[in-house]
Amino acid sequence: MMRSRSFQIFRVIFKERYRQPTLELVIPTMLVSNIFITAFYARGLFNTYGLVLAFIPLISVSETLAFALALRNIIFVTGDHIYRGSIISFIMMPIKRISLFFFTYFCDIVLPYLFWLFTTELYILLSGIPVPQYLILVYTVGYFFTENIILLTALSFKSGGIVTLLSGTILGILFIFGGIAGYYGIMTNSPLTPIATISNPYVFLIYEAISQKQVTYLNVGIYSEVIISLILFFVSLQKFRIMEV
Amino acid sequence: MKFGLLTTIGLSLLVLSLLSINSPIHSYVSISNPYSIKIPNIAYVNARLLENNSNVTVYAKLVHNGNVENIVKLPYYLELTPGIWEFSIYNETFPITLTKVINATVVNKSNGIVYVYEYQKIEKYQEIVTTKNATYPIALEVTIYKVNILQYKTIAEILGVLLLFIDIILLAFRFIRDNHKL
Repeated sequence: MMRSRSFQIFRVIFKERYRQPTLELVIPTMLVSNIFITAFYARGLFNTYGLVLAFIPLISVSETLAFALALRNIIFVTGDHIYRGSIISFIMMPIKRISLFFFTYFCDIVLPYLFWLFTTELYILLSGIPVPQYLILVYTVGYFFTENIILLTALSFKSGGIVTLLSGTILGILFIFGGIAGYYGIMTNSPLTPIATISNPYVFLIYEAISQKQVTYLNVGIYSEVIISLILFFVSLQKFRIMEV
Repeated sequence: MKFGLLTTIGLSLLVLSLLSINSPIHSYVSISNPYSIKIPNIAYVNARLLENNSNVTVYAKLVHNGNVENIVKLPYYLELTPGIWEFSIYNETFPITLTKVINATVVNKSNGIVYVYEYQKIEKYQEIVTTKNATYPIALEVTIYKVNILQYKTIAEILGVLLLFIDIILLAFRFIRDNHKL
């Protein structure tokens, strides 16, 4: 059977990232670790509050796993190729650089997300828990936002250690201080509160679930995250296109 | 022999369909306004309604899926079936101590002179009050003693077994193909 050349290159990139036991370990773990959704749902007396808690990254195992898998792909596979110069063998393949970038982006970032989406939606479907789908949307947007930040740092700095530390610091600062800013914004009813939704929307989701009030400015954060991650994506694309090895 | 991806997904689906969360979860809710709780199909829940003060007789109204199920005297124990339950206080009967001011006169005679004192006296008395207002909140003790992980267990089981079989068949095909090459 003759396969197209692009597919063969895609296969090489895919096989490099997901060798034999990777998927077999990651996907069932993601699926089974979703029992925390049920556990939090029961603990919160079948309220939305428990579900929101269960979907916060770092509390949710499957979300953290998807994030960590993408982080490892970007920094320690693609990034490592760039730092060591072995990316040259991929660049010399008969394929455009843009296509190569899209293939690596798909394998590095989109696939872990698709694993997470598939396992979570399968679990939600089978368990019959009415999970509000905006929780999925919020995580989706946040996931691509953070991974694009990591991708840009990985393409900007020529060392795996620096990129790991730097991206961890940036994301930690965004998440923690964004959460604090959101908390005090809600407390003081400040007009600047919508800005904090960009970095950590979960504080607002928790507030919404507890107080039963609608937070109207949550969309501000989601739209801004989409725009910022698109900008980061195109900057990364440009950087990859003109990269000199 | 390599374990395939489908085998592991099928096994995890089987595991999820067989297991349930069995550690009981206790929770207390104080009710003065109507309180509603939504019980999903996967949960097995008991509830106990308790009055807060032993002098108070409380009747609570239980609404299940919008229909008035019962009006019960507390304390009351029930099993919460799946659906939306709403608990509210129907009426409360309790004694209250009230005071009223009455005028009293005291006549005192001494040395042929009559003294008449008039004064006001505060008297306490008790009355039984029945009210629809929730003066004393009631306590609801919810015990979730079992939560199934999956609602559609049979689908998950069938899917899991199917995935296992597909993987075994694929494995057999691969085995045959590899042997042919040799």
